Amino acid sequence: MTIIPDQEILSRFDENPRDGMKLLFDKYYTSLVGYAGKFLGDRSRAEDVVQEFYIRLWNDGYLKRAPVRFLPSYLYAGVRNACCSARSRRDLLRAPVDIAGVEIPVEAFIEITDERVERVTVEIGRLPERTRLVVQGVMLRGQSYKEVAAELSISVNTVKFLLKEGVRRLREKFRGGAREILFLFFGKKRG
Amino acid sequence: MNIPEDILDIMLDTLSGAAGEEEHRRLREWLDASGSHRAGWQELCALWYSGSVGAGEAPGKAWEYILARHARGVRRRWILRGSVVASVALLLATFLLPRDVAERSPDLSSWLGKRVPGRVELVLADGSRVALDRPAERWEESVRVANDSAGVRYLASDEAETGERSPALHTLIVPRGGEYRATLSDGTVVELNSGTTLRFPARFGGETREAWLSGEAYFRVNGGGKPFTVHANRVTVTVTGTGFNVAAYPDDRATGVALATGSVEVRVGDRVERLSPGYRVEVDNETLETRVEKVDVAAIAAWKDGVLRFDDIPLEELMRRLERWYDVPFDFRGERLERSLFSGGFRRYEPLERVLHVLGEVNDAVFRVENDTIVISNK
Repeated sequence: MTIIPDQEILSRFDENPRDGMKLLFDKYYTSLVGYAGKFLGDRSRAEDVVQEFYIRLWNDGYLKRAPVRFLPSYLYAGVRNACCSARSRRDLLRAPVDIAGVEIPVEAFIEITDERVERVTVEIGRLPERTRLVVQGVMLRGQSYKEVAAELSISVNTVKFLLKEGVRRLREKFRGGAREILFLFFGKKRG
Repeated sequence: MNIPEDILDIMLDTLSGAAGEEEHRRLREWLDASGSHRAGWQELCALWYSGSVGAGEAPGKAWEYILARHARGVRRRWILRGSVVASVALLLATFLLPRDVAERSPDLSSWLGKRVPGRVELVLADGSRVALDRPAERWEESVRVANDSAGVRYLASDEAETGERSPALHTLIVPRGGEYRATLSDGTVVELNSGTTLRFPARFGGETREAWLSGEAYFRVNGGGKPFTVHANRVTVTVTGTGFNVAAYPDDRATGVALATGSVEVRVGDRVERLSPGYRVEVDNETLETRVEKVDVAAIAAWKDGVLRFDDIPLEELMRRLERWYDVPFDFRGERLERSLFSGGFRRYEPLERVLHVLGEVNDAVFRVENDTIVISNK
């Protein structure tokens, strides 16, 4: 599978909005739904919010104003806002629910570049088969542990174990490249 | 960053949506404990979401829904206009301003916004100064000098007599916060980093090619026989055809020459060091002591590709680099920070607010503006 560069998606959108939107959809939809799910705690609501978000991007043409270099940050920040307003809308109707969750740092999205997406994708493809299937299910397609367990006929604990194995291997791959990760500072004491 | 086993479990549960409130609470506690914990979490999140972006085609039903809603939306867009405008403004606001920075230091943002960047200038042989911010072309001693906002090219015509008269020396001045590229008349390409001055002849005559550098530059010297010499601080670098980086800021402790390809000779006083590719020589600007070590030349010269990288440098040096790259003065207070070493990197055109934001988050430091200087202190 090839990763279509953000630059190309945006210029395609200028020529033919429908084609551009489809590319943007294929590239980011699943990931944005996974992200929205963390705010809303509910996958189908997350899908609704992200679909609405895409429609607004398209109908107002404000994808035209998106900064090419920071497209991922722009999209995730937009979905985050959409989730916040969706939650407050719901809270008017129901008792407020405290879903504090854990913050995903904004800087993490600045690090998502086409080059990096491509490298991670290649490395996932190199994982041992069962590990790869679990990583693809949970990380890429946003399936729950249970769904993946049922699909592969293994236990939920095995899914968790294999996911951790996969993530550990990926982190090792990118460790030499811990320095490749831009926009990170590590302070340490002078020894 | 080594993440403890039990915390990694919670992180993965959180990212896959399986974590409960008790797990969230424990993870938040762990993250609050230190900046390096937060850096580790950020790294894992970046990995996770980079992976999920590569997922490929999403379920078709969602796309059909979007298509249908789009068709309806176009017809009644005028009704929605007000709310759409508001959401666009909100989206842009969050995008442009990291929330915490905006809350913590409104004065920092507005102060940075008011600063005017300096211009790249060329000083001609007669001392006249030309700004190079607009595309232009001129002739200097049968050499065509063409520039745009990114670089200047010297093109010597074949008939240019080589010769008796000593050639006119030009000086290129790149201000702090700027960067520029010069293609010299022999085809040598020089990338100039912020706060750098390069002096060179408009055309190369005679038996040698010579240039004088203050600041940092990456040279891709065009081969072709005649040796090429760079004078930098009290160091002389001589090459034939090769790529190398010279860091020679007068206010740095040392002058460094790092070699990517080919070979160079570095002369310090009457001593000569011959470098192989992948090595750097560092010359102490005061004592002239030299030290040769194996280095990652690509990382050292990453600045020319728009990436700023550093490896275990003290805060004082990091601030000096930020001063050059962004043309803002720094001052720091806080003993704990003075004892820290920093590694990392960021893209050159990252707004300074963001850089400071991350730097502050990871190291528990705060930034504020005082007397036209950014003051850093412990949180």
